[in-house]
Parts: sequence; C-alpha cells; structure tokens
Amino acid sequence: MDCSQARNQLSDFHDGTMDAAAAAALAAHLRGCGECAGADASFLAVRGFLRGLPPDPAPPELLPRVLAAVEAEDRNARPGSTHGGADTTIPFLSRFRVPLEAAAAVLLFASVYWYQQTYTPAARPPSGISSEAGKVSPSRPMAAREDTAKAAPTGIRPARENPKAAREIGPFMPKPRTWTADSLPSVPASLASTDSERIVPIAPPRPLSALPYGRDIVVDVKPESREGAEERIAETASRLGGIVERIEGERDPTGKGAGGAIRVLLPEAAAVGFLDELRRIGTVPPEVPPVAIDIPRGPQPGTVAYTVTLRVR
Amino acid sequence: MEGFRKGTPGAFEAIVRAHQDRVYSFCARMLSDREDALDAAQEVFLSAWRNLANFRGEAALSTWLLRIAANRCLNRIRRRKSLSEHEAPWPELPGETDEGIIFQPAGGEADRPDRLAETFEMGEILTKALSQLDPGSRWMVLLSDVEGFSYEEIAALADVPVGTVKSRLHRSRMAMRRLLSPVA
Repeated sequence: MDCSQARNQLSDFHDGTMDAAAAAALAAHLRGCGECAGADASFLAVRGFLRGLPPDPAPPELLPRVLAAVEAEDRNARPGSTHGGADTTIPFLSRFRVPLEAAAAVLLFASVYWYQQTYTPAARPPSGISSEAGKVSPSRPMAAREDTAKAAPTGIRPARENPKAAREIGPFMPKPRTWTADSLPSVPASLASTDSERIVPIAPPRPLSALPYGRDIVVDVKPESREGAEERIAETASRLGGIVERIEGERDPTGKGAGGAIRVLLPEAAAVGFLDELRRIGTVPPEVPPVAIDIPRGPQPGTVAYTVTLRVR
Repeated sequence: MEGFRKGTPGAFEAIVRAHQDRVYSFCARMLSDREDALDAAQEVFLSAWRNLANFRGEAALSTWLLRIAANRCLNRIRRRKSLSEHEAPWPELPGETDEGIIFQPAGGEADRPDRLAETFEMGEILTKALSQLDPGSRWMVLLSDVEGFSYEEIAALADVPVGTVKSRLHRSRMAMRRLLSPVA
C-alpha cells in the first residue's frame, strides 16, 4: 500500500467500513510511515474539532423576528388552512370546516336538482326556428317534429306538454315562444348576442387570390377604426406613388365588424412609409419582417407589392 | 412538540428557543453572512411552523429542522450565484483535483491542527476553513461531522448514492486538514 492509497482510505478506516484485511494493511502502513501517521493524526484532529464545534449563539433578534413572522402569517392565514400555528388560537370557523363543506355540497346538489326540475330556458337556439311558426329544424327527431306540427299555429309546443318530446329533446329545451324568427332583432355574429337576438352570420371576405410576388400582411384594427380603413390604405398608397390593384371586403352592413383586403403596388422606396402608415391604422403583427431587411418584390423591378388583410380585433 | 400539537400557547416559541442556536449556526456556517443567516434561519422556523402539524416524528425535530436549513441555505447560495454574474468560482481546494487527493507530505509538528488550536480560536479557524469548501461539500461536512447525520441521511437528502457522499466527505475532510495546516 502506498501513501496516496493509505490517505484516501482514512475516512473508511475510521468509520469502520473497511474489510478486516484492508484495515489491517492500512494500520500496518500507518505504523511504518511517519508522514501518513501524521496525516492520520491531523485528519482525526479535524474530525474531532468539527464534532466538538459548538453552535454559535443565535442573535437575540432571531426569536422576535420568527415570532413576528409567524404571527403575521397566522393573521393572514385562511381559516381551515393546513398551516401549523397550533400554539395560537384555532380560528373559530375552522372548527366547523368539514360540516360547512358538507353542508355546502348538499346545498349545491339540492340547488342543481331543483333547478333541473323547475328551469325553463328563456331562449331557444335560432337554428331550430324557421321563419314560419311551428316549424322545427330538420335535424330534430321525427317524433318531435310531428308533435310540434300538431301544435301549430301557436308556435313550438312546450316540452313539458309533450312528455315524449321532452324525453327526446331533454330537460333544457327552450320555453315556447309565440313570436317568429323574423320578429327577433338581428345582430352581427361578431357581436355577443346577449338578449335573444337572431344571429346573422357574416360571410367572411373572400381572400384575394395569391400572387407570385409581394407579401400578405395582416393588420389588426379596432372596431372603431375599421370603417374606412381600406380608403386610408388606398390613399396612402396613392400618395406614395403606388397604385391600388384591388379592394375586397366591407361586407358587414355596420362597416365595423368585417374584415377586408386591399392589394397595392408601390415603388420600392415607398415601402417604409407605407408600413408606417399601416402601423398607424392598426397593429401589424411582429412576424412581419422589417422592410429594411426584406422588401417583397413587386411584379416589376423596383416595385413592392402588399396584400393587406384587415382583421377586426 | 406535543404542546404545539395541542395548541399550548408558547409551545412554538419554546421550540424556537431550543433549536435556534443550532439552526442559526448551521445557516451562518453555510452562508458566511450574518444577515443572510438570520433570514435563512427565520425562513427555516417559519417553514417549520407551517408544516409542524404534519411532522410525524420519524426523525428528531433537530434533524428535521437542519434538513430544512440545508435546503434553504443551498437555495440561497444558488440564488446568489445566479444573481452575481461576475462571481469568482469557488476556489479549488488545496491538493484537490478531479482525480482525487494529491498526496502531499504532512507539515511539521507545529502545523498540526491540534497544535494550532492552542493558539487560535478553533471555532473561527474552522469556520474560516469551512467557508472555503464549495457549498455542495460544506453542507455535507456540517451535517455529517458537526451535526452527526449518517451518510445514509445525507445521501437521501442530497439524492445521491451513499458512496458519493462518502467520497465527497473524505475529500472535504482532507481538504479541511490541508486548509487548517498553513493557517499559522
């Protein structure tokens, strides 16, 4: 055994985790090697000092700080939390935690049950209503359609009066209405229908056909800025020496909810100014690369082309 | 503990009083900074207070507190390192390489640590030497040689094999021996 090996085994030797033969060999080496014996002595001394190292006294401010922190947390703790704090008064409500939760669960169940028994919906999805009273959507079961037809002309027969239909349609079918679909107010589908208005889907603007040149840019505009956005873009393009190739959109009667698209051709030098103007009209998504790096080439050299799609956000 | 469970007023304060020196000492030796150690010790007791009701007593309360302290201190050291962009790496321990301990002849009789202890305040010397160990080894030395944790307990806490703990401890002890030798 050499000195390096001997020193690497000192911990195991003093922990008593070496096998007997190896321990005997190390002991023999230590007996015969003064340097390793010295290293062993200092090694043992270090371990002894460490074991006898007394704890430093904690600063006097530690205890008040801990107690203050605990008190603050206890004050803020919710009743029934799993925090310790057993040396403080248990919050009154937390003693009733389980009964209160159980009571809440029972109450919730009873409420849902009562609601199912008594609820009559206020509105029916318009898809099941045609312009004539008493007609139902073809998607409804035949039995329900027959039952409903018998109820004409007063409107859709209530589910409660027709147990068979009620079974097939379910407990949440709408309350009978005496008005027809035409009498419902209409509102664009892009707005939330909160008051039983008839929803009129808006046909999305037909996208302009893709060109082998230029770039498509989506501009998000606010509803209040939507109106006349195409005109502003066209005017900008003209002012910068470009031309408007095509405009699509404005299918929404209000002019605020629909998207639109406009294709412009510009001199290359006008690209930066044009994009700046687009950013004033709306928000150009960050994925559009900076024009300084990447100018989308137009159909002729020295021109750029953009197809700007307006999106109302 | 029983008093705490029963909600006896002042029971938690008694626990803090009984263990604050050990917990603070450990934090101070790990962090080498009084304010940091105070904050860490406060966190340890606050964490203990939050979880004391769940403490099942499988280990001694002091062992449990020191485990929390070790985690808190290592977190603080990691945070320090991540906050300090220009922090110098932990100094390489004398005589230590990746391959292990390099053999160095021992110094003379006067260099023996037990002799040095006669002329220096041993606590200060040891604390200074401990502060030169890397934190990953320091807490093992503190828990093993100062606090008396078993290798298995440390291995479980560090989530490393027992053999790794033993070899790191041995390297650290030998490094401590060398660190203490040239102090004079």
